[in-house]
Amino acid sequence: MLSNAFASVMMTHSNFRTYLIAICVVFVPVLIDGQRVADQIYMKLDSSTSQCFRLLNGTHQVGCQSKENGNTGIIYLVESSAELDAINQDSGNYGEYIVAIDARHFDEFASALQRMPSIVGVLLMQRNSEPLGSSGISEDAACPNERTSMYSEDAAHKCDWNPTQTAAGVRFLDWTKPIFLIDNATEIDIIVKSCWETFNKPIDGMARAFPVCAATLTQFMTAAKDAPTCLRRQEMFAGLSGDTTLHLCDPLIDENIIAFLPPTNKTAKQMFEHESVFVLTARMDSFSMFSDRTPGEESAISGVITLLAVANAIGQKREQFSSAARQRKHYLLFALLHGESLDYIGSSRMLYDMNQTKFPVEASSSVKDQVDQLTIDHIGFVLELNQIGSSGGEHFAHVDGTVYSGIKREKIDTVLKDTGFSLADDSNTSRLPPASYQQFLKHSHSIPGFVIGDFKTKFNNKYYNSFADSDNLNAAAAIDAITKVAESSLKAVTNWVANESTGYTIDRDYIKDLYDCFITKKFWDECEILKRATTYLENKAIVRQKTTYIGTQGSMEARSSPIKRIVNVLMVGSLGEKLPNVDTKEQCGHLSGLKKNNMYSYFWQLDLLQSDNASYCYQSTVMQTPAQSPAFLIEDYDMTSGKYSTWVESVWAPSVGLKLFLRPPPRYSLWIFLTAMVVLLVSMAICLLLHRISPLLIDAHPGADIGDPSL
Amino acid sequence: MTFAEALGCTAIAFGPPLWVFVVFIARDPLRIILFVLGAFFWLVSLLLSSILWYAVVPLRQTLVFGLFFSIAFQELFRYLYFFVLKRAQRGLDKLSASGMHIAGVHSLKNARHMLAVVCGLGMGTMAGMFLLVNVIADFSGEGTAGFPASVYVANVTVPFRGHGNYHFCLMSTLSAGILILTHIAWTVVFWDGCHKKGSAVPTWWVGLVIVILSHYVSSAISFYNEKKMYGLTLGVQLIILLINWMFAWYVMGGSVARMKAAFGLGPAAGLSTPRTPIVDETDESPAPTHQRRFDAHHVET
Repeated sequence: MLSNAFASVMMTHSNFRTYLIAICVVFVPVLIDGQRVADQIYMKLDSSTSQCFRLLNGTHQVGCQSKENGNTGIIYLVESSAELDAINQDSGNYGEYIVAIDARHFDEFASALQRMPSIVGVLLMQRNSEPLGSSGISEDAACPNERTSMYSEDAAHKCDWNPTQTAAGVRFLDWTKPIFLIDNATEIDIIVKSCWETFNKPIDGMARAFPVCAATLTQFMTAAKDAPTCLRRQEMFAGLSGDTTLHLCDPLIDENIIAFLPPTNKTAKQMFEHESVFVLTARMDSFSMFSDRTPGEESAISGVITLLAVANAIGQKREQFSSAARQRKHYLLFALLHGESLDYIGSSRMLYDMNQTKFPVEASSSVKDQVDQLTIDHIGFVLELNQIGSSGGEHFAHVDGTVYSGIKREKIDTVLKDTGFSLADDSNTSRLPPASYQQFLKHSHSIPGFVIGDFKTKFNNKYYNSFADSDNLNAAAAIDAITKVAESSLKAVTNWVANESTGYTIDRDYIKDLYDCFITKKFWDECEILKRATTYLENKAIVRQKTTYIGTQGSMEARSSPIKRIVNVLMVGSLGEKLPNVDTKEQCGHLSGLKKNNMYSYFWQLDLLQSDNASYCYQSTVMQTPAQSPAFLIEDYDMTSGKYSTWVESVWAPSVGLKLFLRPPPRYSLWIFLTAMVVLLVSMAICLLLHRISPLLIDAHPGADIGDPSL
Repeated sequence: MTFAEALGCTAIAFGPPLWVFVVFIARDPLRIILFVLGAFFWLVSLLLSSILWYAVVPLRQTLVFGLFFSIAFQELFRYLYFFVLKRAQRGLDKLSASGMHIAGVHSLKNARHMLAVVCGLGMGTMAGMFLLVNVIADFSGEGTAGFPASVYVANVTVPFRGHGNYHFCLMSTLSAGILILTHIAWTVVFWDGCHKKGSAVPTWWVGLVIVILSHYVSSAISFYNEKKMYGLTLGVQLIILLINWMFAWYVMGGSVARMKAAFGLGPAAGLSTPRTPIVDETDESPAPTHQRRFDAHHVET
């Protein structure tokens, strides 16, 4: 039948040619690449995302995480509360949502986003080109560091320094859902245009038909409940069998940078006396719920630059200052503190060490020339530099009302007159803003001092401790303000310590350079002075990122806080002296290993103010002291007491990611299942039927075919 | 998609072959072994085509090149299997001759079409698995195909915009299911052609040509999937399946008369063979009959 027909067709040559052409025609469609099917389904957005991570303290867990396999939901763009209402009503239809929201609206809707169970994830979109708007966003509470403040016992006191729409602080909510921050414009376009507008946006108020665009956010944190639980779980597993350790969370730890000028020397009988030390302090750190997004420019860096300028000015006349100070038996302590924004880690540890007479180092019998230990009664004045430069000039001094109305009032007034600032509040109910000075007063309620800031009753900084605390200052005005505050502080310091104020000048260019480097530029090594400062630092890729967060790696120098490492270099450059006969890095390192004295430290670095490549060994009094909360040192410390910071950071599970995809109609799987059942039944029937009728249907013994003897 | 969908697609593609296996193959251990051997031969052909693809570096991105030789290798191994089986038959002949009846061992004569079905199912199942397993695995996650293909944003290059459709999995499934059944038909026709070559029938090559040609057409038409012309692809593959099955039926001795007889619409006289079910060589009772036949053949040669 068929075979005969074919046979006759195939016999002729010309038809063979037609045949060949037919094959090629069929082949024509195409050269395609072999592709993995998963690439047709998922689009991963991972070039710029930053994730909200978990912190735990003595009583709570805060921050975000997803389920272990990620949180999946339909993308919904929220621009006003109308969309949130739509989600509320709509949740039977689609189920779970992942909200995409512009960072400008985050603070406004934060509590709603946190509360609604149908929202299982948040994508925060921050377009770099647009300012965040006048509402601002702060991740800190309205009363920052409330638990460890000196006013925590005072219930009547209303503390609302920080203008934020979420009183508890967005960072300190327990989100139970992941939040990803996206600042890459392309990825934002993909989410808003390709995903939301193409598939999900309701048309004329009607929900769209399937397929709809959904996303999975994966970010799992291993720690839970609170710090004591997490640490206890870790301990239980430690050392059980060889190498297995369970790593769930890490305490926040880094170092403070301090420098005494002039140094003490017990051997030479140059020791601290009662109220002989002036402490000039600023905080180095900030935080955010988003990893790697802690520029802290207005919150912390502004104060750091001011202090660095003062140090630089005094460093220029170091010998003169030191001898004048020695005559008066007065000392100056520069203290750049870390971890202050998270319940005063640095300052509480510093004061704890002072109480244990271990500050700056413990007394040692093996060192010849050693420093004297500073205790709290040696402290004569505390001048703290808080946020500087945002309000366009006016800066205020904040005092504690009880101290100011006591016997130290005159001392405060003297210094105040030198600076020329006016008091924000001179009544006896005056409260200090969140500041390290509070910790000094907690230990000894009679230390005179004040805090300088650019605000009177509420912060001017609308981005206090947030991922957006970047590029919000007016450069020219801020530099002027920093210069003015630096000059005032310098006068106060030199008068108090050395009883002289002439001959010391603030280098405005230095301030300008530092401002440019730290704040204006996108990375911390894009300008000359910081490029030189970071020359000998390890792990430059991390150092250049603008992170002021204290972090958990403080025990490993190469991975510890970038801001601390940079500030260390700058302080050494300002306050150190070049040793003439030390020519290599190894010799310089050798000097610190010698331990002949612990008054000085030795660092090998470039001259920051020159442009050549010559490096020197700097001998200076700049030191690093631990900034780790005493809560982790004290045996059986009650973590719920709120006396010291108990913050720990959760360990991240390795896979973190965001992927977008389409969801098919919900009935689709049902149809496929039914089809499968039908196919199974029908094929079973056919097979059994064929089995039954095959003796008739086909030739049973084809061996008898075509005269073939063997088969 | 979801796990239920993945399961459903697996059932759609591998359901019919499963029933073929259960009804026709599972009863006989020798057939099970040959089934697995068929799968193995297909795998080796895939290995060779992979080696070739890997070796020819410049043409790695040209799918057509790889596909052309892959199909050539598959058909080559189909022939090789036939060759191996023919060799084996001589050995098995000796084992079952002279009145010996070893359990599980029987001459493979007189059931060459059944063997072809077994081999075809083996090769087809393996081919279907390789076609489908990746797709089902990727589709068993949360999402379905289509999003990357729909992204038209500056600075984003989507490497491939085909298959941007949530029906892709189902269509692949149906394609794979058809492919497996078609392999059975191909093997029957192909082996019949090889067998007839041995006995110098003039039109022995017709079957081979049909099989090879329809294999190429079936694969080539699947390129239209990326244009989302699933109807065209599946339609052509279904037609190829039917044509090949008709040819296989004809080769197995089918005819209109037989069809009528099978459904009770015509006389069965002279058509059916002794009551032994064709497909069951291991049935104990007909042993004497068979043996006599073997002896007869043996004596003749």
